[in-house]
Amino acid sequence: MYQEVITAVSMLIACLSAAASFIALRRARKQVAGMAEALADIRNGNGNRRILAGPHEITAPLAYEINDVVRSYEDRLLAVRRTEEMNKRLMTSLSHDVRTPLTTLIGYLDAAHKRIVTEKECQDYVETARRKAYDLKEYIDVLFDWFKLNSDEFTMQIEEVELSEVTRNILIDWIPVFEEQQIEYAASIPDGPVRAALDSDAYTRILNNLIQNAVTHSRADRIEIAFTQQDGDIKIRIQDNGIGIKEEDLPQIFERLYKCDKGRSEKGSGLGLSIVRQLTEKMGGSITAQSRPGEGVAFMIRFPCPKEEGGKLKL
Amino acid sequence: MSKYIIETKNLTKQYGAAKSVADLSIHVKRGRIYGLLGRNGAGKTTTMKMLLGLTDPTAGEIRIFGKPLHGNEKNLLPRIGSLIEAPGFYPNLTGTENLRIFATLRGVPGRHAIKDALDLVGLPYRDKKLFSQYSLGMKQRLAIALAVMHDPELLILDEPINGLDPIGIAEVRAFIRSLCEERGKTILISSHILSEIALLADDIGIIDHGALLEEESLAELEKKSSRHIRFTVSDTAQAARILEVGFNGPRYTVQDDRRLQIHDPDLPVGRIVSAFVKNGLEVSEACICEESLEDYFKRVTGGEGIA
Repeated sequence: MYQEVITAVSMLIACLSAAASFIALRRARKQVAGMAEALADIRNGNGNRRILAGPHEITAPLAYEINDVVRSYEDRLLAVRRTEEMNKRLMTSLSHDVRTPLTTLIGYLDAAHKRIVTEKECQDYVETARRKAYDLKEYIDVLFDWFKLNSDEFTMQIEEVELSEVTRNILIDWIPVFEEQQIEYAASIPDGPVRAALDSDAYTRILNNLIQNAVTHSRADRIEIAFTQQDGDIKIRIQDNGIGIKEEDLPQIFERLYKCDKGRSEKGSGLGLSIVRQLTEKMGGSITAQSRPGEGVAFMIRFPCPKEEGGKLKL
Repeated sequence: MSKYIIETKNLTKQYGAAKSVADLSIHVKRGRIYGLLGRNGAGKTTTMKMLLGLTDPTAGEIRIFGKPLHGNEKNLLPRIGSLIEAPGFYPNLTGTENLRIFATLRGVPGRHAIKDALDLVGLPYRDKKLFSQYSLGMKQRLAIALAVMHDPELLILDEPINGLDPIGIAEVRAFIRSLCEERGKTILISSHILSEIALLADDIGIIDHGALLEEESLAELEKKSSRHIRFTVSDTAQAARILEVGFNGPRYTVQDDRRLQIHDPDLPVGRIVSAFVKNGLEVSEACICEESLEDYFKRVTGGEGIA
């Protein structure tokens, strides 16, 4: 009697566990089939597809691992696609930017060539065309710089430089321009030497670009340049009192091709500030901008002071 | 892979005699944000409900991920994240506990899915606060977290910025943009606020009284509504010279050998045309385009505008 009960119970347990494992197997099989279907979709290029699993299911660790792998590849693919998209936009925008001044230039030369205007006008036209050709060359130079900066062949020559002296020399070259355009200027640069480890060409380009930017686009009549060294940092602040940049435009101004609202003059490649930022960052520095419309823009560049080692700067 | 993530053909929903959605054919492209714009009661929510299988269409066809929705709901719906009206959260549980229930029921793509989703919307993980104590904005955030927790390919969000404060709105906007741009998700959002859609969407469908009035990319719409004068002339080089010499050099772009645009519609078109002709140019087209996006919407919705 006792034995019969044990037999019956053990048979019942055996049946139950068989049923349970059958159900579990069916469920797992269904999940595997679902995973196979999702993987086929991923293979066909849908990198956004995920395999879903409840946290306690048998297949969960496998599904989560696959999702991780797929996602990391998808992120990389997306980055590539975005760069491609950007380059396509860049190309379209560049061809427009080159076409308009070039067509105009041809317009002047054609008119002069066909003698459809007076002798005096003809001379003016040639002069205008010459000026436009130079503008175009300048634009193409900037473009070339930008492409070079974004390719692998770009290298910097980081050397020990006496930065206050370099800065002073850059500003001296700008004084005639400030005077010609009736822009007041104020510069504060420390008298003593400030040693830094930078590429002086790149540094010169950064400052020139920022000052040029203020002169051409801001409609300012006052520019202040302040050079300070504190807390192990070298800081250069370039402030104008021009029309400023709108708050919503500020985060994008260092992006390539970003041109602020049409009020800030159409001239310019839209690459200048992007070049400035790239050069600054390649030398370990950073650049920020602050502005309020109507109150001008302040660009702040910061370079870390290099550490000294036995009287020489660590480059 | 099909080009459209969502495609509807003559989708119609009829309540009694009234058609809430009539012959709607929309096309949502992969990896883009599609904004469904319309006034309250235009049929946006009904459309979204049909796309999610929450209500059956009276007529018409819905294809999602290239497959008909009807009959494939079980396969297709888990790949969508949605925010439509308020999800059923338990008031006596915390946000994390609520999400955990959904995670077990629906499955998630990773071990840290709940924490990731809460991080994305800026809610604390394993916080003690009960759902019933949440503010309206926090409830909305939790609903968005639920919508993205399973890392879906497609998000359908009905008025996602409802109940959020201005900072929250900016955050959600940035978050939706980054989902699309950095993660390649396809997103369908609805709104009755034109400026919101203009800031966010790549493609726009304008819906009014249940019917689709226009479906166009934002770039195309902006081009349509930008203020400019368009010319088609026989020689753009001479046209450019004449503009510079005779009209003070307005801002213009040369499109190709025959087309040119002036970005200042206030210039005297008549005088420009006659100057062109006097200089021996043929002018085959001169057209002033100065309609703002707002005016444009007013026109396509039949003068009523969209508040």
